[in-house]
Amino acid sequence: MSQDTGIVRTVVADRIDLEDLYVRHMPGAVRVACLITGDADLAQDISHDAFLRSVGRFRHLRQPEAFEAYLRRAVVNACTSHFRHRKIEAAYLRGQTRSAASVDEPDHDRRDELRTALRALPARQRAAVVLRYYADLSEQQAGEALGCSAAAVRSMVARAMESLRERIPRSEDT
Amino acid sequence: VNDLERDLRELFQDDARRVPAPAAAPEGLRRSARRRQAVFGGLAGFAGLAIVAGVVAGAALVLPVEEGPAPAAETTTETANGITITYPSEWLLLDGAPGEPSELPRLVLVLSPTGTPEAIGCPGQAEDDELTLLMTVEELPLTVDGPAARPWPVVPRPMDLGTTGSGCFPDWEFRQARWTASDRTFEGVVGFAADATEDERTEVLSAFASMTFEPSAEPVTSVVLAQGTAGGEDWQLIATREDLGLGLAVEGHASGTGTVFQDAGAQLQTTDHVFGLGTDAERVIFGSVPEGVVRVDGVEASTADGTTVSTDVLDVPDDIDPDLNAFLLVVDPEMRIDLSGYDASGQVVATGSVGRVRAPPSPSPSAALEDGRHFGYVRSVDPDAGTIEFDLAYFLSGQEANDAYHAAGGTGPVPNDHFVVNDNPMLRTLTLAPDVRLRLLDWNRCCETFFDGDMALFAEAIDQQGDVTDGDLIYRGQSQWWVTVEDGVVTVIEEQYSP
Repeated sequence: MSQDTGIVRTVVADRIDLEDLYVRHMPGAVRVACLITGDADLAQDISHDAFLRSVGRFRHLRQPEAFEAYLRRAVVNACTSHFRHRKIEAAYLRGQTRSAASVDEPDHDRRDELRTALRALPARQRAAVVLRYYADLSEQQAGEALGCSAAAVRSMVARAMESLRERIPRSEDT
Repeated sequence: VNDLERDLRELFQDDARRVPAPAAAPEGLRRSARRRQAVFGGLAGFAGLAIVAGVVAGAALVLPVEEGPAPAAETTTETANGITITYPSEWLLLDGAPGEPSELPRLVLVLSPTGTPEAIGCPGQAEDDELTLLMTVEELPLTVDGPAARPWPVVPRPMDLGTTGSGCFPDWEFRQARWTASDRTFEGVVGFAADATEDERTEVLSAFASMTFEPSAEPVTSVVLAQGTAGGEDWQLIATREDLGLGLAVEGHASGTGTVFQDAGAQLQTTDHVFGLGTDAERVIFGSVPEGVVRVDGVEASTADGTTVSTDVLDVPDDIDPDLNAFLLVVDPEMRIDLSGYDASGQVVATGSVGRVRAPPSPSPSAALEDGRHFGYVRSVDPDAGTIEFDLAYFLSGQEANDAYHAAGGTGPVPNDHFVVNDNPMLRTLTLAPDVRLRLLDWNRCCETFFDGDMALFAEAIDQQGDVTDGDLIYRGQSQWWVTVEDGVVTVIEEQYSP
């Protein structure tokens, strides 16, 4: 096994690394969080907290690519956990989130319908769709972020797309 | 790509562009990050530091250390996170952080000579502090096998961390040890700056050796059951308490897999993971066994005189799962294995298989099904008579699925890593046990969550060969099923996930 100790983690977690990691990974983390939650302020909070938690896991700083995956998983977990609170989700579905305006500006009907349909998805399905179609992750990578198998991701995305098609009947596959 | 997928991608891209994402690290990051470094498990914010106060003279060494007798410094004894430690009075002890997540691993204790907490986080960059010594203790998941299961006391051994060029620990030397005491597993590291004196080294090693441990106040939630090497990669088998049952995972450095097992009667439930590549590859088969199974044999099934591998069952603490234990075998990745679980008297009390179904397709299958778990399709349900009509099929995975797929004219790897063979149309009428359990996939939380279904709705879905919904729950008439036959009757009908 590796000699992956707390002190080792501290060694690699100096401030230069942290600032670099922050600049490299936080924008992407915030965007993913915002697309999942639909709430820019909440996305900032979740991502910042996830970043600090991930930094606390010093072992992941030894490999930047591992850190990115770990941060992504922390963000997705935090986003989906957020929606486990039924009251919050209900409020969210009623459009009573704190500041959805930043991403919810009216675009055109089709997009509004799509956003509305996305919000109606279960949080994990929504996260799976964001990871696949925004973050461009493979099913395996999305599964790692969601803590499930690639097959489960495939199923979640399929069900999400099925739900979206039902809610947006004008959508037709080519 | 279809319209919906393209629309989603465009929507996400446009919305993401409008997200006010940070472009630079905030001013407070340096301080915050350092603080978080120290916190990791928790140094509790620096307001809550446990500054040493009491005085106890002449702490006795629990362990012999190489640097000679302890110096006659004034010492004090403190307890932090269930660890009692004696150390020089003027040193600084940082203990756990209330409010921090209890998830393991976590740093539970830091000891150093005088110094500011920020210096402890990164002494090489501290401006007004010359930290020369540092000791950390981290609590790991309880380990019941391997070096980390060694009982306390232990002696920290030199370790090479490659810190020569580090900005935080330039030219430091470290020693490390892992041990288990009072049903808790720890990793301790002591570090010395290049200019640390021999007396200082002796003092920190004396403090290390003085530790005693109390049991954790929290129940065990994860345990390292076993560890080893497969395909050139070190792995650990970790059991965790999950809401749905027993979580088992094999974790290596670069890869791993895991799943949640629920009580399945006499069924050996398995999953597997291949470590390594090419001729170095090895497959780790692991899974759950019911209480009472003490040994598991795996027989290579593709030849008549197949190789047999055997392993003792690994005890899973009752706090994690009172009904299931675990086993693990390392086999050749190409082997297809039939598994048998033996009780203490040597009787087979549980069975399972990996890589193939237990019974090969038979040209003239009998109408009855032997006891065991069988895959197939439910063609009709008669709730009043308590029977189903079952079309036996074979659910193949791995190499066998590929072989069958190619034999059926398929090319390339088999889709979704499985293939169903159903050459015989014969229907079997099976009797349901009065308390037959119907386990259906919760497609809203796909795909490892089941709910107990209603037989009448199930019958309706099978009859319609379509979906019947009950609120959010879906009964899929065209799904595939596993039936468990015990004493000639069906005791469990379980839905098979199919993408």
